[in-house]
Amino acid sequence: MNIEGYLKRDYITNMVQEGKRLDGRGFDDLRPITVTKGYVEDKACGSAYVKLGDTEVLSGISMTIGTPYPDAPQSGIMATSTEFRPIASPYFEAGPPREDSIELARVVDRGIRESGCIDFDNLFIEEEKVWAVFIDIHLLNHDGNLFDAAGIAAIAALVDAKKPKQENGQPIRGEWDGKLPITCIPIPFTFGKIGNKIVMDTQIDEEYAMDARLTVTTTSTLNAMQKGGMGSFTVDEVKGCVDKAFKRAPEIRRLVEE
Amino acid sequence: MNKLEVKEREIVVPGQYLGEQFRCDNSCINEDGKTYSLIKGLVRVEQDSITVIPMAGPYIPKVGDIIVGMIDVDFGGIYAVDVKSPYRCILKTPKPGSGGRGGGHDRRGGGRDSYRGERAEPTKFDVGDLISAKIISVDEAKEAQLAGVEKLEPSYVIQVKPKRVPRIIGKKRSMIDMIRQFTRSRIIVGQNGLIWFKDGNIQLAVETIRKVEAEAHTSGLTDRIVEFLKKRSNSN
Amino acid sequence: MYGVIEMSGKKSDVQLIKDGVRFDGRRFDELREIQMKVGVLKNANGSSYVEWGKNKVLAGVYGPREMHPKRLQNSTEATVRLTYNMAPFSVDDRKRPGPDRRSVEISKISSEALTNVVQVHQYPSAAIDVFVEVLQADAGTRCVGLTAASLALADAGIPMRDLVVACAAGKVEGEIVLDLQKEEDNFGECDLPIAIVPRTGEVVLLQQDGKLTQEEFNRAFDLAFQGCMRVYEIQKHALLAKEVPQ
Repeated sequence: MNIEGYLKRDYITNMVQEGKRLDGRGFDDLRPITVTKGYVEDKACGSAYVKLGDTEVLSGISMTIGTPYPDAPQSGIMATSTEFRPIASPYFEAGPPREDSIELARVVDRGIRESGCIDFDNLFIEEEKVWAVFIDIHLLNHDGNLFDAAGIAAIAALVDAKKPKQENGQPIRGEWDGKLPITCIPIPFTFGKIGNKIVMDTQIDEEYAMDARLTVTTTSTLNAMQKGGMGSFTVDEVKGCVDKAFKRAPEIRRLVEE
Repeated sequence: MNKLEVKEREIVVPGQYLGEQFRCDNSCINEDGKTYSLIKGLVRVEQDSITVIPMAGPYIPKVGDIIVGMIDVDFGGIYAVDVKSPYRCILKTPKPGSGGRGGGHDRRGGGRDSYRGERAEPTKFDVGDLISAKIISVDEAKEAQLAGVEKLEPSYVIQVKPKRVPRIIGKKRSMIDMIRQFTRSRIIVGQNGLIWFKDGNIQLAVETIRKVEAEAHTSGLTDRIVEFLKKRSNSN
Repeated sequence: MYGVIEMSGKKSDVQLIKDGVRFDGRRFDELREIQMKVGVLKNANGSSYVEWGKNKVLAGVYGPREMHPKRLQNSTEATVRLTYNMAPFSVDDRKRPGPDRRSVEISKISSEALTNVVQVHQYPSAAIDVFVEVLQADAGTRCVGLTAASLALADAGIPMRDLVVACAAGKVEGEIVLDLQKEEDNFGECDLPIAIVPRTGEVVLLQQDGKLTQEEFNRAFDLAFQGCMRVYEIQKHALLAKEVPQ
């Protein structure tokens, strides 16, 4: 049984109601964050390692040549996958992706896809041959707020990525054709609702007390949102989160770009 | 005649040759009269016995230990308690009327701030109850029997590395008593690494204990913790 | 030889050995550059990170802990389970997530190697889970993984009668060489990974594929063994580097 979750819930909820957080942060403070691009630069087309507090995530970009979707024959394709590796938490079990892992992958995917940051037409090679971009997110240590750590790692890895050279529809490994063109940088922020308060960048203990979460991903426009958990948000809370997401995105965007 | 190959208090690694003709415990192994360490840790020699003090490792239930745990299975009057160990502790409730004290409340290992004496031991538990208790026996399968049980109010619990618990308690409980004093928090430290807090400045208590946990093997720690507590108490 | 299909399908045009020097400039008996660190993950009970040539491998240990499923518990001893996994982006051609047959095999023989040294009788019924995550692969990952796993176990305080250390040798263009990197592994004639208990010299993992005469095998084996002993020194150094003595 998850002893921590059960026990900490009430204590943390009360603490947050009083305006305090476990580690002394303000409700809108993020934990220290570092983004390291090119963490595994030898095989992957692009990669980024993100450490957000003690949450550690490594994202890698792989590119292969495949057939396009029938309804978009001139466009490349993209797929996002996340693995909740058991190394990252005593509560992760090995096995096929479960609903948490799938939801996370799809939320990260939408943030990237809907922003239009990948120019899919640029990925067209010739008839029946397009580049497929795979974003793979590998969790290394879970200490809360996987959505933001994964989303930031994914876009940073894309920014880092190079396009492989190809010849006759086959990639030439180890040779590159410039960077993968990325036109904008979508940044996610996840807001956790604890009691009737909203906090940013939940640490894992806080997630035991969290009734609902809202992930908002923005560029110059709002690109993707996801509400999760069994609790609810008021309309004002939702609008407040969207506002904060827009305002705070530039500081993370800088980290991804540099 | 035994021969020591390493220095007292030297840090050794698994497989490292320690010497000859020593008696050893679970931390080392004798092969053909030669003694080797099984773990990474600090060498301690006492005449012809050698032991390696580990820096990491699980909690294994031991007789006499005070533990903090959570009831997670109810077998109908017999309860399994999760103590964050590969092994469960078993709580058998006494028959009604057979009285209360159980194994007694030895202050070793945790020092409980709660009562001593008159209140009868609880006899009914629910899954999810938080308790502290003393281990009174351990069988060959390492399953432990508990007594002297006290229900703890749902409050805040953290988990520290079990091997750091002695440092967190301190010599003659000096470290934990100091933390209790400065934070005015009720704290029960389980030898299994689970620590329960109630009231007072729990945030400061937790932060201080985490600091002790992280710096357990350094010297001058006590003084640094005193300074830390003084500074933080004044600024509050 | 990690089962990846080369997309280009043609042998490397580069000569793997020229004038007694290998493709990457190494001598026949030279190891790639190796760096190791322990205690790198917060949640795992013990962990290590190893960079070995271009390999980047993370190992994490949970345990001893309660074993699930219960029916697999062994009432007299702990069960050591190593799970070897490659990240999809760890290789040139993306590997689909999830265990493949090669990973399952490597997991099995690595678990067996570790079980030889871990004092499993000290923790009856428990599970000792080791997770090896290959973040970047460049041949020899099973050796890197097992070496890293051994460190992670020591970091977790799991009692072992010695560390386990692994290294491979092989044959490339007719020459016996130590510690194959990727091109040598793909286009060479033989791969021989081994793992030993350094203190006693016992062999706890051994695989061979390719063509070797008996004489070549003896030389390759000795070379791999010497490689192991040198890697062992790096392991010990990494374990001791973390701690500040009292």
